[in-house]
Amino acid sequence: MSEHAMSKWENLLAKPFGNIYNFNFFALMLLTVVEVGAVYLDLPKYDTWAVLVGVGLLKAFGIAAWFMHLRGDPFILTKTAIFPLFFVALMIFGIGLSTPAGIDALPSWCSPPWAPVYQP
Amino acid sequence: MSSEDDTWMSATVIGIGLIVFGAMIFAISAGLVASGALHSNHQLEEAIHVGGIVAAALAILYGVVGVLVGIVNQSTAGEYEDHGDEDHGDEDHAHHGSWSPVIIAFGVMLFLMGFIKANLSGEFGILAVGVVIVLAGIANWWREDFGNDGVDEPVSTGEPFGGLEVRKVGMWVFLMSEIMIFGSFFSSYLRLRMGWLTHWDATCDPYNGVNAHAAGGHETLVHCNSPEMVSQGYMVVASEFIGESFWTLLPGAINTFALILSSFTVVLALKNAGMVDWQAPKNKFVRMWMPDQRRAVRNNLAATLFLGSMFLVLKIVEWNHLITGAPNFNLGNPDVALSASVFYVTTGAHGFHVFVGLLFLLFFTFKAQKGGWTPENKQSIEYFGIYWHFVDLAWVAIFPAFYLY
Repeated sequence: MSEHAMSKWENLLAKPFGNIYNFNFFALMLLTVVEVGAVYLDLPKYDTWAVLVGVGLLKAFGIAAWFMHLRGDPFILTKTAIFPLFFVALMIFGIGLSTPAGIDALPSWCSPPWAPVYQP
Repeated sequence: MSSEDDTWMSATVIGIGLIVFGAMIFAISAGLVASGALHSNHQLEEAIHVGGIVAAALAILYGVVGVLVGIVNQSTAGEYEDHGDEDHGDEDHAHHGSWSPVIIAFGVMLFLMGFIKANLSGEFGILAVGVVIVLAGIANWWREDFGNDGVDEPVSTGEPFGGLEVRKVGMWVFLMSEIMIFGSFFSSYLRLRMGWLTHWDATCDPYNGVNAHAAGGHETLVHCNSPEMVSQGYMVVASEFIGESFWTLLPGAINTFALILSSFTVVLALKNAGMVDWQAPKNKFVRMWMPDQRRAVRNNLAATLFLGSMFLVLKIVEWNHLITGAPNFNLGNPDVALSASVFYVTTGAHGFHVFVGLLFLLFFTFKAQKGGWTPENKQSIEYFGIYWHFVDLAWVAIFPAFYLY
C-alpha cells in the first residue's frame, strides 16, 4: 500500500489522526454508530433510509478509496471496480425494483414446481 | 538445530497449543452448560453452547493446520533458500509454475457435484473426495510458497493493465465477479422485499410484544406474525427477530465493528511489513503490541485472524438464535419463510468468504511467525488485504439491509 500523493482535503482529514488510514478507521467506526443509532431513534421511514444509504455510500467510499487504496492506484483499477456496478445497477433496477407481479408472470418453463412451495 | 528447524518446530508447537486451547474452550463451554449455572438465561446458555463448539472447532482446525505446516515445511526446509537471490535468470522462474490452482479447481468441481449428489440422495462420497483434493491443493500451494522470501512479481505488459502487477489485476478481476454475485443476492432480496408487507408499513408489533415502539408504544398491537397479519400478506424478516432487543442485535453490531477493526489490522500488518527502516513506535502501549518488525506484522495478522474467527462464531450464534427461536426461520421447517432463505443465502455466502479469507490468513500468520514478510514480498499481504476489505465492503451493504432495516 503506497502512501499516495494525497490531495489537500485528504491531508486535512488525515492530519489530526497521523495518517489517512487511522482517520478512515475512526470514521468507519463512527459511521456505524450513526447507522445503528438512526434505526433505534425510530425516525420516519424515508429519513432512516436516507441515513442508511448515505452512511453506506460513505463507508463504501472510505473502504474502497483508502483501505483498498484505489485512490493511490492507477485509474484503470477504479474503472475495473466500477465496471460491474453497471450490471449491479441493471439487476437492482431491472429486477430489484421491478413490479411485484413480475415474478408471477414468468413463463411456466421458468418456474418449475419445486417443492415445498412457499404459501404465505 | 538450525534456525530454519526452529521455525518449523515453532509452527508445530503453536499448532499443538491451538489444539489444546480448542479442547479447553470446548470443555469450559460444555462444563458451563452442564453445570446449569446459566439455566436462568436460556439465550446466553445457547450462545455459550453453540459459540463454544464453533470456537473450539476453529481453534482445532487452526492447530491441525499449524502442525501440518510444521511437518510439511520441516521436510522441505531449505528447498527454496535461494529464492530471492539476485541470480534470477528466466530459466530460474520455471519452477514458479504451479499445479496447485488446477488441483484446487478440480477439487472444487468434485465438491460442487458432490454437494448436489448429497442433497439429492444423501451420499457424501464425491463431496468428501472433493474436500480432500481441495485440502491437498492448498497444502501443496502453501508448501511451494512458504519459503518464498524473494521478489517475484510478474508485471502485465499488455494494455490496458500495462505496468501493473499481474496478481493485483487478477484480484480486481476476481472481485468484479464477486461484486456481481453479491449484487444478484442484493437485487433478489430487494425484489422480494418490495413485494412484502413488513413492519415499516404495517401497524403491528414485530417484536413479540417485548418492544412495541414501532407504531406508538402505548397501543396494544396485534403481533405481526399473527394469523390475522399473515393473512394480509405480512412477511416476517430477519431484522425483526434480530432487532427484538439490544442483546439480539449485539452479535451483528459487534461483527460490524470487528470487520472494520480487522480491515485496519491488515492495513497495519502491510504497513509494517513494507517499512525498509522500521522503527519501534514511540507510544509505550503500541510498542508492546509491535516490539519489532516481525512481531508487528505477525501480531496484526494474528489479530485479524482472531477478529475474523470471532465474526464466524457470533454469526453461528446468531443463526442458532434464529433457527431455534424464530418459527419460520427453522431450516428444517417445510414452511420456512422466503425471507429466511434469502437471509441465510446472503449472510451464508458472506460467511463463507470470511472463512476462505481465514484460511489464507492462517498461512500469512504462520509465515509472519517465521519472519517471512519483508518489504520485498509484502505485496501478497496487499492483495489479500484487497480481498479482506471487499468482504468488509459487502458487509457494509448487508448489515443495514438485513439487520437494521
